Amino acid sequence: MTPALWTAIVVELSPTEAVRALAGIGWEAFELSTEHLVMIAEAEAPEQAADDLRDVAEELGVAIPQAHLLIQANVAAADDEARERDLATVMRQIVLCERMGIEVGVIHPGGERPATLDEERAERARRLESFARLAGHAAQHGFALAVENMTDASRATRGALGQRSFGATIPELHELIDAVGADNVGICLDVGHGNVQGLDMAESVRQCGERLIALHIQDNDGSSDQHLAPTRGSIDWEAGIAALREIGFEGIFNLEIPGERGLPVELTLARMEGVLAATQWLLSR
Amino acid sequence: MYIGATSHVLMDAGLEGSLRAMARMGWEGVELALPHLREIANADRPEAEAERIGALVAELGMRMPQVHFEVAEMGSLDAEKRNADLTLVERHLELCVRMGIEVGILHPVGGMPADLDEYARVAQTRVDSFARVVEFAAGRGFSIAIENTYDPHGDETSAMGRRRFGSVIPDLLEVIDAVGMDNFGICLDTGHTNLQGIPVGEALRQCGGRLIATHMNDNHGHADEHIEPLRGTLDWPAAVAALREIRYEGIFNLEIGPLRGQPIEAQEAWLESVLTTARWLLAGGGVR
Repeated sequence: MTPALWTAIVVELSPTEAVRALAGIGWEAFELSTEHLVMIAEAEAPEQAADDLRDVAEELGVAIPQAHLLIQANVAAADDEARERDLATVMRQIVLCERMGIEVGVIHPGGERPATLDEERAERARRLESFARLAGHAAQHGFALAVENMTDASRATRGALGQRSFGATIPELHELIDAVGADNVGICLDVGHGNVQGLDMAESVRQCGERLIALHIQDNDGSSDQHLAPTRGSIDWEAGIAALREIGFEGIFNLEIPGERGLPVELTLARMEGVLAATQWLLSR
Repeated sequence: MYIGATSHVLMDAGLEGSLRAMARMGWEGVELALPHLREIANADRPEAEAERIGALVAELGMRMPQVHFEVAEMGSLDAEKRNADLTLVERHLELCVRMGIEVGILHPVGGMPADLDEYARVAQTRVDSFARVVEFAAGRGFSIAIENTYDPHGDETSAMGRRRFGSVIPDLLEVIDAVGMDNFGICLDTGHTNLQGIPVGEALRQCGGRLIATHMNDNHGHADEHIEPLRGTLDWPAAVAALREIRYEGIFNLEIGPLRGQPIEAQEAWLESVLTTARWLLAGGGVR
């Protein structure tokens, strides 16, 4: 497993600047963040921007095997117009990802906490239809979708299923993937979300099994989704990494850690040097 | 719909004292509380005691349609423990039949399985256990009500994280459908729905015709306080409206904690005020 970093750790920089800066301190693999993917998609010449990033990665000898597709996309939204708009955006991002040589796109399961069981069933149907369409589109571009696990909500939340959120457990992701029935849909395990949900990292890795195609590595103390660097929270990394090896996961060990932002870029980069060293140590044990 | 309360509301008065006091106040219904069920089962002559209590309820002009059974380990993978629990429930059920009780409430207990294999085995065991008790009950003109619970937000975790089976109504319907017998329904605990974040009107509509028993109680959304209606944050007018919408005609049973330790006169005065409030609610009070 190769340590990797999500590029929005230096969101102040352009996609190519971010990759150059992070490669400069030793990172060899990346997840292209939603922010940087949007910068590329909204550039004056998006295809050229995509080609530029691919060229920079090739020049530096680094890999960008996965991207975070539009993080705000709600492919299960009840509002048809909003859902179609998000689907169109995601499909466009998939085309650009193919151009950059990116093979996996992380996407959230979406949803709006319906007030009644009937609405909840309708939302499930919309989610399934959207994922089926996205999977078909992605297949045409040699691309795979990784559905990310979420967390249930806090006590104050209300809905037909109370605080439960679709996708907070791994069996719910399998249920969606089974229903879609396409080979190019897998799971992105966000281990920090799992920790907030009370899921043991090793157990959740095993629950994903061979469907695990992307990782969001981040830590927290279990009380909220803090997105800290590994070992700064309460996750059992030794057991979790052992489980990744047990299931034969060979993808990137990708850190998604906005909780480590907030410093000037040069200080963030210094901090990321330390995070890389710590990640390498974790993976070498 | 008629108003009742779980018999432990005047715990310090004992079962007979409680029943007499409740009848005097005008309570129409009562749920036999678990501690009282145990007392009857542990009496020198349990069958005779059960018949005496049943006759007393009738003499007082009250109805006792439901009972809270032991919190049996319905999903336990320890076959010996599970069998012992189910055997005890069956023994209690027979006593309840002698008292004229028609519905027994059970929790969907199954612990917090650590992995998916164990989770699946517990789920099947839970269905098997309910099937056994429901079938036993059917032969005695008795029904079983499975009660909703709520997800833990503390340190308790399982293969599903901080989720507990039975916290949402579709979980209960899944067990009922799997068992597939007519004498199996739901006991909705309104306080548990409030903790789970399910608006009570919606929870009742999800139960629909499967609702055969009630645990009406309030809380502030943080802990399972079992306080009387209108002392917490539950939307009581919505609850009453939904009960009427689904045409529920059974007991509006208040499962609220007793005021133990206070003089019995104070406890009775409090209980009388609770009845007045419940009557006001069912008469349409509080509708905005």
